[in-house]
Amino acid sequence: MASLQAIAVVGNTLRNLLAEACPRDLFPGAQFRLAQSGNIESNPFTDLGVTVYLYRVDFSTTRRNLPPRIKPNGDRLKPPTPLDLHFLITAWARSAEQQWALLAWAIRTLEDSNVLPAGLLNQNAGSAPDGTSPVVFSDDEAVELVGENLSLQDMVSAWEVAKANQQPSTSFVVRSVLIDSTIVVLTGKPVQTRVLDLAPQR
Amino acid sequence: MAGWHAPIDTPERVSWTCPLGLRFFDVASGLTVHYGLSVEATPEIGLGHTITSVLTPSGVHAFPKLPGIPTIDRADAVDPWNPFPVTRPFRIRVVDTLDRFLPCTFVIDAPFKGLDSPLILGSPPWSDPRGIPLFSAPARTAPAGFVLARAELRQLDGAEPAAFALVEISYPSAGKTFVARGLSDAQGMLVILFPLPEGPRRGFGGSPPASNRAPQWPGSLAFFHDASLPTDEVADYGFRLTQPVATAFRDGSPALSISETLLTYGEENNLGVLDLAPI
Repeated sequence: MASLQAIAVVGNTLRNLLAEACPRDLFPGAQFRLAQSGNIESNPFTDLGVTVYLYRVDFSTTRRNLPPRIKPNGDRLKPPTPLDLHFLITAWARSAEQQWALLAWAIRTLEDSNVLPAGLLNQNAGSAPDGTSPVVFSDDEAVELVGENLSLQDMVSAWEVAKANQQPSTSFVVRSVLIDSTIVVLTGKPVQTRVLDLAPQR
Repeated sequence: MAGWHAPIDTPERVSWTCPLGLRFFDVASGLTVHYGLSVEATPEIGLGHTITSVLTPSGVHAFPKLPGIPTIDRADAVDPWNPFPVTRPFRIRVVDTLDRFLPCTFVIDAPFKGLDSPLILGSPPWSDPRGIPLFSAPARTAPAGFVLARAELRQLDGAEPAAFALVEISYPSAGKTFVARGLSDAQGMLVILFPLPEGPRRGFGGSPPASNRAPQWPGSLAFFHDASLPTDEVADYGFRLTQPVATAFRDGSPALSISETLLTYGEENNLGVLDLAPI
């Protein structure tokens, strides 16, 4: 179960996964960025690169009624909210050949990492202002990364922000990112002794 | 009026106490194990039949009644544990019907107050407030995102399986050192699972430099085994978690002792056939 930084950390993990694995001899000077809609209206790179754009966030309908999370100290929190994060992966380059090669490589790299474990995700969570390392995902947690097909309509909608500059892209969905609640649900401890008061009926 | 009654005096107060509750946790993930366990208690001394536990909604395996233990119902005591009732040793046998964990057995004294681990273990210390540890069976499917290490353990002097040897792997993660533990089965087959360690932190700004390295971590190995213990089909925690330190030698000529390894994420880390000898 993850804290409120979960979406940002997942995006940063995808970006860093690509950046670290990039074969610099094939794609010299390639850059990798997290993007908002305003960043893809035109090529955000001077040469070539890949943008990771979060274009849709869904409630995960495959995991409803999750059990409450129990913290190590025994506190029981309200059930987490499961989210599916849809990312648009877009390659940018000056030439079409290089752009398509970069896109194929990015797809292959992400397909090779179909599970993102907590250790990898937390590694990309940065540091808090006080220098501490926040734990965003718990040790036993992992999220799935799978490619998904966008219908033509969905693709057009996703590129509505940059109609005139639409680029070949692919979509990946990160499934079941569980956003933790911080609200503690009051529950009693396990009962070992039951106490009964008896009285005559009047 | 619903839920209302006239004030009444309370002439008598009765308390019923469950003499024993056990909580189990997965050594690999640290999570409490609720379902799929068969937990039985048999008197270790004297006569008495075997009792099967009841799984409570909070995931505790409870024994509301135990043979030879008088029911703890106190008519007037506020604290049912004062005076403390007479205890009796019971042998607990735990079997995972889903084959995820190794079967185990141990002796505890009941009644026991609370849910803290009733096991009192020596060196290496193996006591955990989360409850009774359950070790992964060799055939267990590794959870997603976990590092997996395997080995086949034998005794150096006879090539017999090193049954129920305790093995520890110390590894760095997020600037700290963590210890993953595993127990071999009766045939000496070992599997250790632990969450993917965390590497150096990366921030949100800028692209990190390329590094085509496979995610690997150094791990320090420690082995604990006593070949003189009787070989049973089930690990007796009373002996197996308190075994002396042993040295492991990698099979080959000449045999080399092994205390370090390099662990890779995403593939099975096979440590091979290791021969254990007492120090």
